[in-house]
Amino acid sequence: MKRNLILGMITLTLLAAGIFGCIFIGQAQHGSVAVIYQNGQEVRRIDLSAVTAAYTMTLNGEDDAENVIFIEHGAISMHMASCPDKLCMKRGKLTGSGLPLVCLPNHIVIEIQGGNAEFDAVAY
Amino acid sequence: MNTNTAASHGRIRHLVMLSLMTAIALTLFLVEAQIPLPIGIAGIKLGLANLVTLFLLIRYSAKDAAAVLLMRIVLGNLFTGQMVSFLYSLAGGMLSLTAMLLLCRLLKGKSIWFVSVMGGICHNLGQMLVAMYFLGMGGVLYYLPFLLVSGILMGFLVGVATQGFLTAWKKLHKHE
Repeated sequence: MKRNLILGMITLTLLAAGIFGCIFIGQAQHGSVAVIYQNGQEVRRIDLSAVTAAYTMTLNGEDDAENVIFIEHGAISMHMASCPDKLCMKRGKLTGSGLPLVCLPNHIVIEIQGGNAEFDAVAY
Repeated sequence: MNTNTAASHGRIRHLVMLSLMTAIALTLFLVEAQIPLPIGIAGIKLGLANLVTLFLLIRYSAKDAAAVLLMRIVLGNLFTGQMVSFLYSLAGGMLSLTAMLLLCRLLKGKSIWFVSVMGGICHNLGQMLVAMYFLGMGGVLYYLPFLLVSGILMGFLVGVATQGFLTAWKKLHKHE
């Protein structure tokens, strides 16, 4: 019986370490920085994991170009854009590094650096 | 050679039993290959077939366990058709066998559930090492906690199942 007790404690310790590790990893994944480029130049750099309250940011460009960017904890997206195709708005929210969010007509590029990459597909 | 002695009868019987065990291990292996894991690394498995390895270790010998293990690894990965998973299975299976063998000797056949838990952990550890070799150090370590937890849980379940298997086996084979 004593043997089982000791072994049980070892197992539970390992299990607890594993669970804590999982939680820790989960937190660390969201430390990502969003970088906003306008006309190829960096205009803003935002740490998404430090965002507590969501807010919007408006970028104005040439020919009445206007983009409203929605910034929240862990995600960034295009809220409104003056471009004709609105593809940037349909992109949805960026949460990890990988393919950037682009508004081609208005020359806006938003990408996230660091954190985990989103793969669309992986082939072997 | 006289093939009708009691000894050769026993050997043939033993061989047939090992073949049966291989088939069971293969079934478990193929079934678990169908279960999608929330891990983006191909070839990683849960480790259900360790049940057979553990059973053979306890009831028969390490040689038997190793033989069936190798057969299961070769045939199983041949059937599922991926060279990638072959190395994962090999690493996981061998490390698991070694650990379970040592622990079994140490604990003198008692607390089988713990032997299986450590077997499960080592199985995943082996797979992690192969993954690190192929994919590099960084991203793979993220999965270590998850594999640790799943290794312990699966090991425990397999251990309980093995215990039941052993009990049923003893009832059927009282004369052996």
